[in-house]
Amino acid sequence: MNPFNEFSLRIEPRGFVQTKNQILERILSIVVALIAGGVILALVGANPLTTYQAMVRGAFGTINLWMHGNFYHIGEILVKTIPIMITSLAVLVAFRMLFWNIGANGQFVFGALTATYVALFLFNGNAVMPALVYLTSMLTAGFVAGALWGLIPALLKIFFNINEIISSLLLNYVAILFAEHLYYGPWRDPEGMGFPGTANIPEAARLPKLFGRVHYGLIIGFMIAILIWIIVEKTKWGYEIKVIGQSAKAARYAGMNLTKNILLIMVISGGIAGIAGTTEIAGLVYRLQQGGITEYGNTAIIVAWLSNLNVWISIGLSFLMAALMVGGNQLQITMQIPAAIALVLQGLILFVILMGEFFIRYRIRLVKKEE
Amino acid sequence: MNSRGEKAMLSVRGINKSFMGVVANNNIHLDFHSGEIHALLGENGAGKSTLVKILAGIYQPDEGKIILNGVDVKINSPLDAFYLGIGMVHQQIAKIDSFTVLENIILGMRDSPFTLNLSIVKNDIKKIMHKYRIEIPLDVKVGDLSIGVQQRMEIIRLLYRNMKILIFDEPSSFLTPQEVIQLEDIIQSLKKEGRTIIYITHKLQEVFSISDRVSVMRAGSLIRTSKTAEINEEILIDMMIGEKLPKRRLIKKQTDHHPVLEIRDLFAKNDLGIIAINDINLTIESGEILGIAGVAGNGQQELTEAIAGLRSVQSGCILVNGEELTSASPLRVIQSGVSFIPADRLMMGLIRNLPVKDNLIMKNYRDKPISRGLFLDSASIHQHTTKLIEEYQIRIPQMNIPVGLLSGGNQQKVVLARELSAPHTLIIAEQPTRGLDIRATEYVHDLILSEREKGGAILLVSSDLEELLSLSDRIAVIFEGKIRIVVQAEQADALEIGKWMTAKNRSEEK
Repeated sequence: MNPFNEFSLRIEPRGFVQTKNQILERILSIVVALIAGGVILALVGANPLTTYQAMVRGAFGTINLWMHGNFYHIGEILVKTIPIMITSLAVLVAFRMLFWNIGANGQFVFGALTATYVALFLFNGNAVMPALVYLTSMLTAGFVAGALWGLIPALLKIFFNINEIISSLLLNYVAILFAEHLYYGPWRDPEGMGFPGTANIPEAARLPKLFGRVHYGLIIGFMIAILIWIIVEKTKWGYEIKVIGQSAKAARYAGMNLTKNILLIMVISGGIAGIAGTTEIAGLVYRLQQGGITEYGNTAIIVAWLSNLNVWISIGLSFLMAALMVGGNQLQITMQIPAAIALVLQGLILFVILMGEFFIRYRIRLVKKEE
Repeated sequence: MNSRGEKAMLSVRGINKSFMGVVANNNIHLDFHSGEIHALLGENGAGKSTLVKILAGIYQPDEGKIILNGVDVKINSPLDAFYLGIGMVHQQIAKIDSFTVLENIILGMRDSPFTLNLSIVKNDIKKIMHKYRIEIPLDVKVGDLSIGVQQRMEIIRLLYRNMKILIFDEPSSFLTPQEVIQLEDIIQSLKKEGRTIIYITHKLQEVFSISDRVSVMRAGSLIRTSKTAEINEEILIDMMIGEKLPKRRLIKKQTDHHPVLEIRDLFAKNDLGIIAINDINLTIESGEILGIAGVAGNGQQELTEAIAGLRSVQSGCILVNGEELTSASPLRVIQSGVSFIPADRLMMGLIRNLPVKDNLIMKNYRDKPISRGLFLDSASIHQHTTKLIEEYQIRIPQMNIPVGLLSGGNQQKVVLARELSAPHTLIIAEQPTRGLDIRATEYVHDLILSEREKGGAILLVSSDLEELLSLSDRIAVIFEGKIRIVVQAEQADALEIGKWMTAKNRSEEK
């Protein structure tokens, strides 16, 4: 007898789920993720337990290191937290209005390349200009560039009703390849010995450090978070965003201008993503180059979505996601595990957590077929 | 066992169900027999919908048993109910507009083979249609059909799956008088075959015209089940509301009249780009209620949307207090003193996932004291909310509960509180009492009449003729986007209006 003839699987909404159970379910999904990851590790011949231990150590360091005032690892997490956090705030604000800005990556890149342009070429690498002038003009330019890039899907949506998910996603590739063209071509550092990347930006154009490699982008990120929180929770505009996000029909009925709001939200969303790109250039990598500017936009979308579009939760998740990245990178060094396996592990953990979110809302039942 | 010695087909024993502490069903014991039409009567929030949704597997009871043909059953999902032969015709029929009627009927069939032989299916369906004398086109896209036809499609869908127990949730809400008669015929023939019919309603005359037995529910409890033949209207009302309703006060005629709303030569299209308003001319004066009678889908919605600035106009003009508002923005219309109570309460009039306070400030959040400069003033919002909740007797279990979880009556009170507390000279009320119970309906009627007394002009769109006749000063009948006739309400005759609504008078018109 074929059991598939007698039974079938059915997906059902769970309805109201208690907060306590939701938390339990999330913990459970992390455990499942670790077990699944363990299987993969065992398959490539690594000891799952020691690997996880190495991953945690790689991400957070050890108590022994902390006792000696060595917070290098935490610092590395924070360095990665900054772009994820700022970009997830950018995404979150648009998602709140149900405008699916998948193009944070592209807006990030445009912010980064514009900031580089300002630092390297607009002021002609002028070393005597005060840092304040450099940084404010870079941040402004980064914001404007991200905003303009973000406006493209908004305008396409408004005038031609083109799905913003598709257009913003495709514009990512345009932005990334355009940046590539610049640092391989016209902007390539002539003294860079063939390395694809621009020259370093002048000292005055760099964001100061808080400690270690952690730069002032962290402060900028928290300022943006507070600003977004105030906008979303306290202002008339935040109310409009909420209403439009819940029901465009009701928003129109209440006299809200949807066109104006879509344009505004994408200026803010794209602009913030642009600032994320700017702080990454000005605070960490100091030049436009291969890698380092395209790996955060998509992570930020996951973070924003998992946070349930909550500003503070998204910051916490950005930190955890950064820890996962740092811990994974450390594996290559300490455990001699191939880089690809670390990425597989990261992907797997995210995947199971996302699946857990599904199971919080739905259940699957095995039902016996009736005659 | 009942008096006729029949065995109960479906029984519920000791059903309890509550939502967030609000009791919806309190220890319900009830038997439904085969071959009977069992009316469930009660106000909105009385718990009848909850009870049948438990039977249909949409909700699960907190306590209690369901017994089908003498066997205890668990109904965990609508699909379980389906397998047990319990089907429900909802008020809002679940359908895919871009599918044909036939495709919608076979939609979701689990036991169909991998390949579907449409011509066999079609033949089977035609047999059912023939047997019950239900006429519907099978190859037409569902989105183009009236609600009455969609409802008949749903009935065929249930019959095709051979449901033994059919639940109808206020099926007549959207139907014309003629369609109601057809529906009753169909239900009678289902009964003759020995099927069990559970018929939810809050209309007394329907109880008497169709049901064999009637169970009255009030505030979550079952008051009594009796044979329809052994009961009368007064007792039913008494059981339903538990106290006597106040009689409606007499309508005073206003003396000072000036036109508030003037519509001239208006043309507008519907969402499909087809002309839906075809040369409409209307005037409403201050202190006047103009009723629009018509079967849903004849341009009423397009008309109200055009006035509210939500739909662009092809030609013609709309004046409110002499100010031209043709194709004005919704915001400008609001600021010109037009209040709008839309038919689509949950999608347009309210934001279902947001709490009452967010719903009450939808139109005045731009004004002082609700907001100052860029910022909302949460203290003023709270004050505004508590004031309106008290003034309009909105009952909410919890301040932050989403408005979508309130009963229909309370939802409508939220809309009314918002629309009537704003400064206004014109009120557009579209189906203001649809789905509401007697008491809530009464309350809405009182509010509308008192607005009229204060000199407001009211455009009342309703598919409930009785409502139009009892409230309106004049009644305009709309059919296929044209106003067919305008009559003084006191001289109007329901049957005559019904004929205009369905264009039975078309030949005379020409």
